[in-house]
Amino acid sequence: MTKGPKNKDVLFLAVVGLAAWAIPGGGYFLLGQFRRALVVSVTILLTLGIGLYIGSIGVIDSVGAKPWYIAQVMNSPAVILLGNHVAQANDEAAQLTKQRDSSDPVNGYPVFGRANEMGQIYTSIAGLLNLLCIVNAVYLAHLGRHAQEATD
Amino acid sequence: MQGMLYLATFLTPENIGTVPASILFVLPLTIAISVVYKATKVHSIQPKAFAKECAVLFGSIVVFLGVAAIILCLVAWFMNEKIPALLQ
Repeated sequence: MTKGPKNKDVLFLAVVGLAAWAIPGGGYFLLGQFRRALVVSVTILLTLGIGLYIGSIGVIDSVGAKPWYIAQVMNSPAVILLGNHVAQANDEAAQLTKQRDSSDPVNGYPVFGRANEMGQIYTSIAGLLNLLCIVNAVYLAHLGRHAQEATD
Repeated sequence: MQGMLYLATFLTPENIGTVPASILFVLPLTIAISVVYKATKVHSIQPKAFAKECAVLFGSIVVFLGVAAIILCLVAWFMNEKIPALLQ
């Protein structure tokens, strides 16, 4: 019984963290900081969108570029779905190429060179920025709870 | 149809040449970093003050990148031009 408020606190922090991960700015939105949520959401989604536009969804490579993928996943769980789709498409393309003739390769989402670099950098930086916002939103939620307890 | 065309732009990569101008791609990224970092730091977001803070941070990052680029160019020039001349 005495652990009730503490458990509630942890649950609230977890909800804020998950909301911030699910939608960039979602954590701030739950805390009632709508302007901050809007600014963060628009900026991060725009950066992610630019990265995907430059390099295509092929830059989300969960097999060949794992470290970049980890940073990209910080954007949103939707990136995991995109990564699975890309991995599946690339796998099917490789199998088709094997079945056919290797001189006529079937490509999934191929992306090389500067477009790949730029796309990965943009999407990964967007993910790391969202990680910063997740941590900040959880911290603000924690501070808010403590301030509330002090006034009670 | 139009929607499919927009979607298709996300399925094929853009053609970006290895040209000096491609370094300008750093600018939108720097803006994003400045805006998000300042959004986590300021107490409350007031449009004018926030824009000013972001502009100062953006300027600082660009100046720092410029200084780093000049230093790297000087090091490359020294290694390629001066050291071979000294060794001869």
